[in-house]
Amino acid sequence: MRILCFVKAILDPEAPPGAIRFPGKVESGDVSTVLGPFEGNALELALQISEASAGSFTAVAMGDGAQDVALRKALALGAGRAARIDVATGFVDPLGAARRLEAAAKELGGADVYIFGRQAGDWDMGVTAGLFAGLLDLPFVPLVQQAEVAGEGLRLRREIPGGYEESLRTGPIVLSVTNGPRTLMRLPKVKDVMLANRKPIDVLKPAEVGENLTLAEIAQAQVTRQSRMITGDAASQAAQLAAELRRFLVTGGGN
Amino acid sequence: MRSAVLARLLDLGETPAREAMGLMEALGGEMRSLILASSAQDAVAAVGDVHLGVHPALEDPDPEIAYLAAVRLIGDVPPDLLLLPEGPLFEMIGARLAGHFGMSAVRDVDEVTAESGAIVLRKGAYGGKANVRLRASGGVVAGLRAGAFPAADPQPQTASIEDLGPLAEGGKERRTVRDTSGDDLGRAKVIVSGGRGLGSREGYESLRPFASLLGASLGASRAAVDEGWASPSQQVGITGRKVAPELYLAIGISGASQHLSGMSGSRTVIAVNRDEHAPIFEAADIGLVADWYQIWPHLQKALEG
Amino acid sequence: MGIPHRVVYWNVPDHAWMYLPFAILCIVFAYGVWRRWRVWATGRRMPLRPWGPRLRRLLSHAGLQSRVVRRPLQGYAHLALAVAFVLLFIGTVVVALKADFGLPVMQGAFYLWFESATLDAAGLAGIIALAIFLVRRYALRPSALGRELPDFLVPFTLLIILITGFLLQSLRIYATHDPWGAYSFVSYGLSALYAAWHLSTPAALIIHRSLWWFHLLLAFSFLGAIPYSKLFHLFMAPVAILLSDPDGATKLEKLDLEHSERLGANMLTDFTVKDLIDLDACTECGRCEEACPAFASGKPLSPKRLILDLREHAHERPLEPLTAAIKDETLFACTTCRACMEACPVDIEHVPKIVGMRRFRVMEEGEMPTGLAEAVQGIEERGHPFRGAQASRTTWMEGLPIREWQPGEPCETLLWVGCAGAFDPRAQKVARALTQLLLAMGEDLKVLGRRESCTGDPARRAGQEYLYQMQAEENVKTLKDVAPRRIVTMCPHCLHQLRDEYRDFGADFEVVHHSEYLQAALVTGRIKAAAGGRRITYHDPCYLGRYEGVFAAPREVLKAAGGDVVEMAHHGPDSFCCGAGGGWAFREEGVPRVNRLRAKEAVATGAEVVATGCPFCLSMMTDGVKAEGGGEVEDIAEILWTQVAPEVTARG
Ligand SMILES: Cc1cc2nc3c(=O)[nH]c(=O)nc-3n(C[C@H](O)[C@H](O)[C@H](O)COP(=O)(O)OP(=O)(O)OC[C@H]3O[C@@H](n4cnc5c(N)ncnc54)[C@H](O)[C@@H]3O)c2cc1C
Ligand code: SF4
Ligand code: SF4
Repeated sequence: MRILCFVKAILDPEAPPGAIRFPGKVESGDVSTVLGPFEGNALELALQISEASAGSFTAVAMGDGAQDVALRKALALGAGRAARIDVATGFVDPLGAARRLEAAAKELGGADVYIFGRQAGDWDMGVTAGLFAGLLDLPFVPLVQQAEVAGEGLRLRREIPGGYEESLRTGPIVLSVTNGPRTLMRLPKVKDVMLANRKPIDVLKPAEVGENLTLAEIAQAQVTRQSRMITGDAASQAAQLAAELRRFLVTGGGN
Repeated sequence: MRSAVLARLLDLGETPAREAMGLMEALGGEMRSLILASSAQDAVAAVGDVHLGVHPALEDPDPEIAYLAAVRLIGDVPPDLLLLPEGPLFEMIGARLAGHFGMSAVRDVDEVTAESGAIVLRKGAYGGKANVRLRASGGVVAGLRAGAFPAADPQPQTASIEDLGPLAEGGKERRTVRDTSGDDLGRAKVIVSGGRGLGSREGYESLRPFASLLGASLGASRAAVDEGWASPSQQVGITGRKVAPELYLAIGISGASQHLSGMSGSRTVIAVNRDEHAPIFEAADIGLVADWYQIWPHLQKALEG
Repeated sequence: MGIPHRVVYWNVPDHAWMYLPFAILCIVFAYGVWRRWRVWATGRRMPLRPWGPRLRRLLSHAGLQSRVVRRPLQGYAHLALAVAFVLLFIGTVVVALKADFGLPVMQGAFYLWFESATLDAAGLAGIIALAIFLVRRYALRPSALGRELPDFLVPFTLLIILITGFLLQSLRIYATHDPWGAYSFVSYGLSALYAAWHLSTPAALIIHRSLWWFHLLLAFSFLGAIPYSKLFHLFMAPVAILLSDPDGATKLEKLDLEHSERLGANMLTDFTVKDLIDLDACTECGRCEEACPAFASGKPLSPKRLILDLREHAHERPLEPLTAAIKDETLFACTTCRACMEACPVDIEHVPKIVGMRRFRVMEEGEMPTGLAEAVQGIEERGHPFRGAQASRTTWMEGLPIREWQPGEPCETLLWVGCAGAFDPRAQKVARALTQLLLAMGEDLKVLGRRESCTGDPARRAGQEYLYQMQAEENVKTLKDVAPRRIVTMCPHCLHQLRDEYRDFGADFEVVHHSEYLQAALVTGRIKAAAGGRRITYHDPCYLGRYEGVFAAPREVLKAAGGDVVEMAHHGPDSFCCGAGGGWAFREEGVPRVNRLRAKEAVATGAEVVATGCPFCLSMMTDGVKAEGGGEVEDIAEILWTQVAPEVTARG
């Protein structure tokens, strides 16, 4: 099967509060850029499918040179080819992004399976895969947790509320991947990392597309509660917590 | 402006669908309610022109069926703003419909305004660390965050009924399996969630007796799910369950913004974490800077005794 | 009477037959050695120069058995047995010289004092030593000693050989009325008994002759068995000692990532010759196992077992991958504390083997335990291993009058804070205390802040050599730009990297641990501490003590801070790991935890304060001591600052 896997590197989603600031724009400070976690899940799935179908996959990212982190990871994990659509970082209209990915996919010769991470942790849009499927008019299976190659098709497991759905799909398809026990990204082997650092990354020119959504405003969000700290040694902390919990269980929460 | 709500007949009684209609009413203009149903029904409680698209497979639809049905029901002229409650239906078809009709798509929207002809949508970004406003110059499909909009109180009215006819096939050998582990999170009054700080599967399992002492359900951070200690349906957060229990206990969870986004609606939050600077304390009502393994034996004794 | 002498091969006229079993012995022995040689020869060659330190080590560790005698009873017994063995061997050679070459060596004073008296004493000492061994192994039954059949046969056979030797000698003295018999004082005593029992001369002759053959055949069998049993350590222990790294193998080998056919060790051929010889040098004494914190806390690792498993693998499945012999749980249980290597009397190097095998698992196969994998990923992505940490590199120094170094600026003293000092809330306090001390000394102090990145030590110990080398190269480059007069660090792992392992990356800086720097400042009077008076026990961090040899400085600092320093059961080179090394700081251990074992010792001293000089030890010991109901755990810098701060304020 021919596979295209779309990846994105984002500002470290685990950066402590305040490390990235949003005074009307994104100030990243010294926060590093890392492969988005769901993109890691997507790569794992791409790798599993390409291994099982004796094929290879191509990784595609969109952005500036900072995206190479993601593409190098992909190469280390076994991507046969890596390409970057060269656009500046910052907010991009997801429809425009999907159109550019569509053009890039064509340029790269198309694929049988298009794999996306569920949601990139910068703008948290989580819609690019669906938009892409809509543009190409291909079936779309969201939140895939597991994929097995079954003959010409894929047996997919997708997360649904309160469980999962399994089905067999044939023909070209678009998937978005979520985290689960079967999509945990493996550690790349160091030999492959070393080789990956020497492989080329193709730079593609972005297609001309119109903009629909634009970023009108960005501001810091606040989530703070006044917290009361329970202190003391472990035994006394536990005793106080137990009292608190008992009170809660008795009153049913009304404090 | 032409707006429409897309929902399943089954979900009409639920708050999220009524909130979507409430928003549509607030925005005014031309309004349609597009309802997907598995069988025809005479009166439907919805807002604006009500259209019922009927197909037997819509009872529990495959993503492909749901999509094809929606495309037919929407017809050739899509609205400027198509509203869906955030949730499984949006997940399956929201963005794909947008792509099909050349619209943009935004999810987790908590505010929609019309400013000089353009629609402006507000949502969280950077895992909830930031809020953004996005201005749309063309059509948009929006997924609406539950609880963010006033609910409408629609009265039953006669709907125009469209038989959606034969639809192409979806996935073959389809079956759904219930995974009960995260089942009751939505309804739970008390949730105990564990994170990477618990260190091991056995560590996470130590929450089980604790939860049963409290009659609580078990949740998890993404890290705990990735470790395989908890099932994906137990994940709480921006890409997991959004929960709002009376009491939420976060054990060994640092409080990454993506996690906080899923539980900040909880009434009372108690956090146990070894790191006094962990951001979970910023989101907690009661905090214990402590090693869970030092606390738990004492706590167990105190609660059992 | 003439010149004192004795007839050799007395009463054994057909003794020439002994050359038949002797020839067999030679063949069996040679085959046994060859069998093992075959394995060693497949190992990688390693550099041997300079020889000086190696030879000194050989003299001390093999000749004087300086490590063996650290356990006085069995240690001196072993030394006695070894010396007895050598002496008796010389004695036998002398007999051969006389019998086969006709050299006149078995006579005169030499005969009386060496061949008779000394050898008797040696034989007696040997018997006593063997008795001690047997009693210890079978009556006291320490768990580190095996009790398989060979464990019994070896000392028992030796005992029989020595006893029959005395019997032979005494029978000869009795039957020949040897006028110089009394010099062989043990045998002479025995012969007196025969007289008392009225043993007839013909009977004595018969007994003597049969016993002579028995003794000879037993001794030959014993010698022949040497290359097939743990007795081989007689020969291989000195070789292992000679080949051992003169620096105690504290520095790991810099792996040639570009040209290595395989990264790390997965076949015997990936080990060095020394590694393979080690396998045959192990005496199975179990001292490493007794010292090992992983073993003590019930993890599936015993350094002794590891060596023996590898030995068995080398002999029985030499062409199979090492993963068949050593499981990942074993491999990753090691804290790299070096206690085993410090304890081993024959300088077997466990840690390089363990890390070598980890390198293969991690780099070639992508296997790493959870927790560790995430810490390593943290180093790669964020330049530090503390996943989920909330600080930045400069958070700890907020409010202190200290600056980040700026390019182009000269730098007198650079404080290398380390990731723990920057990101671990507890260690941040140590960084602050140390900074205040250094500022109070009037030090021209800078930090790297954003430019500092993990030294890569956790990655290297975990086997991720590639990431380590990238970190090392980057840091060395930064430090060369800064070109500080000296570097002070509060982390022993950083110290070990900056001072020693970075040399392989072109680093040559003056680097000191804060304990050393503070001690020097106290000696020269640059800082003065008010009298304290708390009872303090000091936990030696493995990487400060066993790796970097710094034992005295931190204790001196504590004394200067007015502390009454008491020692734990394990201290100095014998210190017991806190449980944090080798990546364990980032893993969840399960129970029992190593830190609890160490904390028990600390609490048992009755000290009010447990002091240490490593942020990882600090965190481990804090948890452990809290759980064991002990007092405070503090870094030496904090303890000193408590005593210095009032002086500083007093001076204005
Ligand atoms: C697009 C996107 C979506 C995401 N969605 C989600 C989501 O829906 N839900 C989610 O949870 N995450 C989500 N994440 C991941 C999120 O960024 C964090 O990686 C994750 O929440 C971290 O989980 P954690 O708090 O369990 O682990 P960590 O951040 O590693 O925290 C572990 C904590 O445990 C503490 N600790 C350690 N030992 C102990 C002990 N013995 N006792 C007490 N405390 C201890 C530590 O101090 C630390 O604070 C998402 C990320 C992205 C990019
Ligand atoms: S280095 Fe320490 S933990 Fe590892 S085997 Fe040796 S004694 Fe045990
Ligand atoms: S490795 Fe050294 S300490 Fe361990 S059993 Fe063998 S000889 Fe003894």
